[in-house]
Amino acid sequence: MLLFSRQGCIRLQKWFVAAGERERRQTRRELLTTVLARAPRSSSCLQWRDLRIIYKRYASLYFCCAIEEGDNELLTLELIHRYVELLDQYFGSVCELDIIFNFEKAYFILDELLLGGEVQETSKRVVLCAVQEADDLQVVSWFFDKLSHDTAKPFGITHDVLGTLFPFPGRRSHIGSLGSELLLMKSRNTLVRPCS
Amino acid sequence: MSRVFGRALAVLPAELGGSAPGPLHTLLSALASASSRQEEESLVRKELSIIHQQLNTANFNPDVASECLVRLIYCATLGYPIGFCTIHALTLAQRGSSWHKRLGYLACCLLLHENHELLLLLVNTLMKDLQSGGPLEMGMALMVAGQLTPPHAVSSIMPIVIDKLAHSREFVRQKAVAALTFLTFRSCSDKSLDNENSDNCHPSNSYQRDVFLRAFGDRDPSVMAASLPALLHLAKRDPDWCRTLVPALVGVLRQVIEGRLHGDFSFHGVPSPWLQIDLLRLFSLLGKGDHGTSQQIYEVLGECMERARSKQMSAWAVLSECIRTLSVLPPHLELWTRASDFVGEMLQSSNANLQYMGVRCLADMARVEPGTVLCHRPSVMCALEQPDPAIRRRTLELLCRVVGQENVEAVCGHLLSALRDTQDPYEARSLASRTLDLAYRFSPNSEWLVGIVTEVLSMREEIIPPDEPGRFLWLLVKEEEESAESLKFHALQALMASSTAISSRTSQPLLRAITWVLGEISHVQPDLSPADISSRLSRILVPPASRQGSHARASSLSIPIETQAWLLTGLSKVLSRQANELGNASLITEQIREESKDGGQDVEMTREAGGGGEGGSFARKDTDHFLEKAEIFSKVDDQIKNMNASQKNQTSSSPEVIEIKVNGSQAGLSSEECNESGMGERVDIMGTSDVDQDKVCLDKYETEAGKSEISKEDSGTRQIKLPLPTLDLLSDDPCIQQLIDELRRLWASPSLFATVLPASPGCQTPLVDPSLPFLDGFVAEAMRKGAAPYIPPQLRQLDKQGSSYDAREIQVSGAFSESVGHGTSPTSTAGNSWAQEAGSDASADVPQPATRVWGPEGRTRCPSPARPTATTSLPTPLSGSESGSRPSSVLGAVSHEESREREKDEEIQEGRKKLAAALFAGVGNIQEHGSLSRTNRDLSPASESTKDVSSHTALALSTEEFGKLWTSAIHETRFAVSPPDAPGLPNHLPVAPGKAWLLDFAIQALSAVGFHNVATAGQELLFAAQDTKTGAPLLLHCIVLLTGDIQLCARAKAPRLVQPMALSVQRALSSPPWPALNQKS
Repeated sequence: MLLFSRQGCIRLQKWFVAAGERERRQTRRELLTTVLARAPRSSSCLQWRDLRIIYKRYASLYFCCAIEEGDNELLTLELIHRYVELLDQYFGSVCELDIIFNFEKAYFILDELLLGGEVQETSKRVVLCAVQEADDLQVVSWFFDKLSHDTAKPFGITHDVLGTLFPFPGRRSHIGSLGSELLLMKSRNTLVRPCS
Repeated sequence: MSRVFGRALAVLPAELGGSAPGPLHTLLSALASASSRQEEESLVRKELSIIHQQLNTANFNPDVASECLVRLIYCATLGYPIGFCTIHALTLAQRGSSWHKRLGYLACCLLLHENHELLLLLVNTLMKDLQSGGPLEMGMALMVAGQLTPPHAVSSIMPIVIDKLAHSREFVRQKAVAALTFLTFRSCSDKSLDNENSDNCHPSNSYQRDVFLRAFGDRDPSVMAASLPALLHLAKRDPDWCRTLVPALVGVLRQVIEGRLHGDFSFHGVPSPWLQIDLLRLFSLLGKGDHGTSQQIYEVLGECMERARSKQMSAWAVLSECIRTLSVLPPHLELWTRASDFVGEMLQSSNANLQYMGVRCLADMARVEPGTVLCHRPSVMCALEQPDPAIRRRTLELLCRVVGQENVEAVCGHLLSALRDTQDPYEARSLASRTLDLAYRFSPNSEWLVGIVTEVLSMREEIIPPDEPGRFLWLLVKEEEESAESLKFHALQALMASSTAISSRTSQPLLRAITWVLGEISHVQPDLSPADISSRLSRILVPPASRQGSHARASSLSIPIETQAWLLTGLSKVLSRQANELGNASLITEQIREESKDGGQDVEMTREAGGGGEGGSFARKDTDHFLEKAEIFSKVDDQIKNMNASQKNQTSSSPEVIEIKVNGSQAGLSSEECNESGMGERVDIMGTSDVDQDKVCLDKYETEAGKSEISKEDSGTRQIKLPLPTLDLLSDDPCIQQLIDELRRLWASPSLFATVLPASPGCQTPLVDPSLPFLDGFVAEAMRKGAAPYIPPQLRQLDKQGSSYDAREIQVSGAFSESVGHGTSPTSTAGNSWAQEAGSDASADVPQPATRVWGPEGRTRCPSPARPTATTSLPTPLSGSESGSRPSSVLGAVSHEESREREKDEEIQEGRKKLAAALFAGVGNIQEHGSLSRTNRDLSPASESTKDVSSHTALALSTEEFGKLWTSAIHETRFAVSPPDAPGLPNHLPVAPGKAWLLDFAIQALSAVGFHNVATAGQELLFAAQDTKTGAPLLLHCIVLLTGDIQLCARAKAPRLVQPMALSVQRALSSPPWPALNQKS
């Protein structure tokens, strides 16, 4: 998966196959030139070596995926669209600058969406929950650090006190996942079961 | 970067509430304001050194480290090397708390790859997190484990991941399934794993199956969905087992399309398209060729198609996947017509993506039923004229699927024009090979075929398939007919025409084809005189413009050595014909006079060359030589005088020639003053012992054999007109020089020439004893005088080259065997005893078809020894149906009359119709005669040409012996071959119900290229062969998989032997014709 701007600057890249640095650089260069040279109203698929490249342009950003022979082109387009929707919802009407400044967030979202090259989680809400959860974690851990170092002591707040505030005692990393856990428990139903 | 962007960056901090900009922000703004690439680079370098310092000096502070890593990742995205920081990413993943850990893992994923040496350090962290971390850490670790586990750590991580399948949180289970899929199937296809390890994680292992089955039966739909990729892998390997799951899978798909999943799973109103498509792909794998399974699938497939009718793109995706599945299953009439309607809708859509998909689906359907394309003729014609190259290309692929004898000309015309337009070498290569394949298979007449082949051959060299022009020439060789309609005749015509326009840009394969055709089959056209051809060939070898100039050397060197060798062998063939003709006819003085005049002209030329300083002393010597003879011949009046003169001449010139030869290196030295560097090399080459020895052998034979014959010869005459440049004008390569020298000497005595290279096509194959026993005494004497022992060419550079195959090496060996072929035949009349089999063994000796044209058998009719069975199976496409009416032309005439009355627009329409008629001619009736007529053609040249690359013969072994050899041979290569679908037979025919049929095919194909089938056990086959040169055993282990792939492991004692063997096996198994199939059908 490759994201690049109209000027040909790479914004984000994710490789699901092992490739050396030189190979990557060459692939990037070739893809940039082929995709940027395409006529505006042509289809989103093109053959590149033995892979097919699916790309889509959103404003000034090109999203680019390479797929193998057996994969479905239209579905890959939809995957790109889903990723853009996720970014949009996460950043609130996303623009290229958001991705430049918070590219690690963009990576995290992509990681939730795809795992090892396979589509992992397609539900928009679940992905966003997972990312949000991690963000909460950052805040909470920062809070904890602050507490344990200086501010907490004068106020007499200790880990134990904090623990009672949250229903999951024990390891503090559990705390961050609380919100989404509740959400998930409420909404997920388990209808599909193989009738074997 | 743009100014707008810079301004936007400047505004940003203010928007963020005036907080102090972070280091990343500073870096970004600095880069945005950089005006040039150099400035940007220096900025990044400075930043990198700062980061390096920060990371190294400070005590580990996760905040600082993660902040640095973010900047590093950005630099990496810009394309700068950041190798030094990978260790810090690992540290952060190891020691950071959850947020920092996450960033550390991300950095690891982005900066490392799965074979990186530092990954060892990561494995511990992963295991710790998997075992004792909270669910979030577990999630992260699973994500990384699925991407970065090094192959050797798979066995230690796998059990922990499997434990996670029982975790209470579904997102952990889901990630565990995905990671497990990746670990299992990645590692099993990984070649670096040793056998023991891959047995452990083999998916057919029932434990593994249970694991994935458990995941499939998980109560959470997302976990179930995550298990589908694993099932896809399993279904590829073991469809029989997976078929038991079909009812469950059908149930799942039904629930999905009925919308019984939570709304979370639907995508723009389409219920869970990803899940649907995974299921459909599974169905296509399981239902392929299985009627029982397909019956269960049809119903739900129909429902799925019905419910997918929506304007959404994802619905179209599901629909196209349905159609693709349908085209693999045994055909179902009702669904098929519906699918055809949907394809029509897609093709007519204004959305380019849908059109693309439509063409693709139609191509899938056309593979089963070419008639389907007829319904969508107008849309396909539109697609062919699309501005989008991707759609055009897919349409061409579609057309290739419906090609028959009637429309092959139109389709190939389109392919050729696409070939001319394209810039992409990958695409061009596939187009070129496709065009040639179609042309060979369906050519209506030989003239057309020759036209296509010459056109493709004259394209850029890098796009021409590697087996050309060998494949074409092989076709010529096998044709027995020699009339004016024959392929040979047309090939000669076409290539003669293109030989007049040869420039430095002419592609090498075309040049070789010209050379071979002119040399080998020029007798088809009787009015072509050998002299004319030989002058043409020598003009190619040394262009006339450069003969006199000082650039002669450079220009002839621009032809690669291999092509030079082709040219010289071609030349020697023509000259032998010339020699034979002259030898048979009584020598008429008129002719000799004429020739002596020609000789005089040649002398003029040579003198000029010598005067230009190029030839050096060598050329001058030759000039003198020629002058002397020209004088002599101007005097002769009758044959007797001529005989006398030539005898006199011979006695004087013969030692001189040999002297020149022996002192070749001295001549080179003296002319080194004129030429700079190349000569020095030549002296080196000439100085090496093996070359010398080859030459000494040759000299010996020539002097011995020559003495008896030459005295009776009218030899000197032809030497004048030998259309060869001087030695110095050509390459430094000893092989080429040897060829020239041989030719020169043979030319000196036509009757010797005629004996060595007989012209009559039906001549007996001379028997050759490769051990050359008549030279033993001579060699022994030379060794006693201190000559180095002879080392076979293949052993010479073994330690230097490793397993790689050196082109020069091949040539040397090829040339050597040629010289053997030339050398031994005259002496064979002297009553030496020869091994009967030796001839056939030696004929399989030369590894490349290039040098093989002029084989050890002397002037062979075939470039390779044809087996008796091979020659009888002449490919049918050549017997062209010239008389058969061509529908395209008939339709064209009709439409022309109609269009007279109409407007121009309609004329265009008519043109299009005409084109369509040409393109789709005969598509409809392929069904009836398709399978039969195509299977007749199946013995296409591809399968035959595989035979001539094999450099090994069968080796009969017992299984025990095989086992012993197997363990002792350590060099191996593993590869897999997936034989292509049988042409002409629709996929749905139950042709591959069991593996027995595939086994038959493998045995047939491999024994055809010289492998002995040692044993067959279940799906496994053992083969053995031996290298013809060294007699070293070549072993092959072959497993026929149920998916139709064949897995192979080739072993030999020397690494050099493995690669050629693997190549020939691969060719034998992947060539399109399926002899075994033909018998069945």
